[in-house]
Amino acid sequence: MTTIDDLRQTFFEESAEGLAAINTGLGGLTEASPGETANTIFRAIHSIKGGAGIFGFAGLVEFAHVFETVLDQVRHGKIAPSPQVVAVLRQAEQTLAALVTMAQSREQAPAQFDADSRAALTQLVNGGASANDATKSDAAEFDDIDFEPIRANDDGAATQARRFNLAYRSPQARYDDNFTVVLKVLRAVGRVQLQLDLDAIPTLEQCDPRRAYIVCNGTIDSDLAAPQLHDILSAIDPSEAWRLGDEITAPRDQYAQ
Amino acid sequence: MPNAAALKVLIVDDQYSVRQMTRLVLEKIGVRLIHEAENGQEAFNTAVAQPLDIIISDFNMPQMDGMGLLRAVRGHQAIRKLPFILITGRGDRELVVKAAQAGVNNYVVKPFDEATLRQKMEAVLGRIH
Repeated sequence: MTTIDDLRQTFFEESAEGLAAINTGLGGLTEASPGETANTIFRAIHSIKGGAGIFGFAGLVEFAHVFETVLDQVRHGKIAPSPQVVAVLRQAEQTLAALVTMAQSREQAPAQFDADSRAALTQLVNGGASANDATKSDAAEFDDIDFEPIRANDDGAATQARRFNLAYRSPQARYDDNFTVVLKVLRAVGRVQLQLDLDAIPTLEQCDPRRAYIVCNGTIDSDLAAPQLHDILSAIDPSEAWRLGDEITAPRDQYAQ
Repeated sequence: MPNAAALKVLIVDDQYSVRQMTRLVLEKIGVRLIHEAENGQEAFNTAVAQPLDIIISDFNMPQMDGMGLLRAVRGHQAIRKLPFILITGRGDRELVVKAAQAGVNNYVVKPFDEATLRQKMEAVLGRIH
């Protein structure tokens, strides 16, 4: 039977692989094309951090977090991997390796052991402003997030929906007899709210009696993703009178049924 | 009120040690029907093919990460309401906010023990016995 000690040992074996990947990656990190290499290094550090978190190596988590924050900025092009930056990352690599070794031998890291490397890393990010408050515990960092767990429904399902902008403008070429059909289908897959745009309707003198003038804007709340809604619209609205817009970021309670 | 022994749980993490630790914690809760996946793509394939009661997933993984998996699940007609708990760690605050907007049911911060994971699961599934 697998024990926690066995898994801890596995974690250190995975960490050794991760440290090797960091070492190799830093050797190939150049200013010309840092993206993929930086991403590989980031993932290796992140995995060590994740495992350290599971096994309760708080100091290792803290340092890995500062280290990965810098790599995150490198991979997103916010920090250029100049020789000076790579030198800081090399120092961090050695510090991380030492912290892993100490964790494996259940040895307490000396006070301020990682202070120099951490300060150098932090200096690269926002000129020294810490990415996170290191005085908070991992869980406490999340305390002020406004998050309510979503209870699964009685049928074992959670209710959640996305909200998208939705607009309709009747086609100019002909009378649109498809409007209500499309609206019925959209209402079958979500909650549609539309407002007629009266300002967009011409005066009676300007109207062509052979066509309809309907312009409306609103939203649709649906469990379906954007590609699925686009697929539905392209299938039932060949005139492309309906437009599905961007997903709207809104508080979850606005989606409540 | 779900029975732990009957719950079908999918653990998703690219690290074997983390998956096994999560499995140990689930087994302490009494869960016996545990599936595992190494990345979001594999997890999605499993979720479509297997009846599941809940997914417990890490975020940072190759091929498809935890957020991609969450969005894929929520966008799939057959499994879009499958309960989903995200495993987070140090520095993942913004991730939790994004996951909430994408429809995650709950999240758990590493390291977590049996009591914490049980409480997170019960907040979604109801009391587990």
